[in-house]
Amino acid sequence: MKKEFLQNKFSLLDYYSVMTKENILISYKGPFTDSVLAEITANIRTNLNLYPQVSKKLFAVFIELAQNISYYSSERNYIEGKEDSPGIGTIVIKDEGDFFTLVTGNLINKKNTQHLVEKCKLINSLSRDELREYKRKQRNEPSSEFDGGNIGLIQVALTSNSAINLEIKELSDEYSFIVFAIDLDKGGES
Amino acid sequence: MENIYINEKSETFFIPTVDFNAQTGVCELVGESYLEETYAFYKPLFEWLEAYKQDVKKDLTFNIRLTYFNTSSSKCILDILRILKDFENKGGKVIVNWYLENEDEDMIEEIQDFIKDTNLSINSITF
Repeated sequence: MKKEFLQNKFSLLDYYSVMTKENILISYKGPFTDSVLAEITANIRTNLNLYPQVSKKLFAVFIELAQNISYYSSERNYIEGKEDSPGIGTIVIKDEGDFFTLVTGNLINKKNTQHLVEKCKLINSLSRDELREYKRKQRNEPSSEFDGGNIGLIQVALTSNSAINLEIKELSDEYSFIVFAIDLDKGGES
Repeated sequence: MENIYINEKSETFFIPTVDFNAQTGVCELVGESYLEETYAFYKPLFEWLEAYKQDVKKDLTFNIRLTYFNTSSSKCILDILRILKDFENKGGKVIVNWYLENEDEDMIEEIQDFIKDTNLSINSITF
C-alpha cells in the first residue's frame, strides 16, 4: 500500500508548494454540507478580519456560489436511503495583492451549461442600475417559478461589483466542469 | 394571539432571532439569515402577520436588524414587507425601521429596492 501511494503522481509537497506560491488562503474539495459551509464562512471572517468590508463581500459571494454547488452540482455521494445529499464541488480563495479571487468549481450536466453561459453574459453586460432592476424583476417572480440560482448570480455581480468569469470544460458526453471566478477589490483596505 | 420567539442559531446555518409580539405590536428580525430551508422557516412568520392583520389590527412596529441575508431570504423579506403594506392599505398603522451598520452601501441599496417594490416607507437608522 505504502509503495503504491509513493509511486502515485500525486505529491502532497507539490500540492502544498502550489498552495503557498499562489497565496491560497482557503481551499476545500468535497460535499458542500451545512457544517462545511459554516466552517468556511467562519474562516473567511476570522482570516480576513483585517479587511472588514471585503470579508463581508467575500462571505456574501461565497454563500451564494456555495449554495449553488450544494443544490445544483451533478456530483453527489449517494448514501443509501438518503437522496438529498449535498452537491460536491471545490472552492479556493486566493490573495492576489490588490484583490481576492474566489473560485468555485463543480460538475454540471452539459444540458445546463448553455443557460448559464447566456445568463452570465447578460449579467456582465448590465450596468449596476440595470442589475438592480433585473434582480427586482427576478425576486418578484412567483415562488413556483423562482430560480434561486439565477438571482444568486445577479447578487454575486452586485456584491462583487465585478464581472462573473465563467469557464466550462467538457469532460464527457454528459458532464462538464464549471468554474466561476470572482474578483473582490480590497479597495485600499489594509 | 400567541407570540413568536425564535432565538438565533449560528452553529450551522444562520437563522435570525425572531421576536413577534401581538401584545406590544412590536416585531423584530435580528442577526443573519442564510438558512437552507428558507421558505419553511419564514412561512409561519407570514401566517402570523396575516393573522395579526386580520384579527389584532393594532399599530405595528417592525424592526429589522439583519446584518446579512442571502437572496432566498431576501425574497421572504419582500413577502413580509408586502403583507405589512397590505395591512397599511387596509387601514392598519405600520412603522418599519431598518437598522444598518454605518457605510453599508450594499444594505442601503437593498432598502431602496425594497421600498421601490413595496411602496412601503422604511426608516433607515444607522448605528
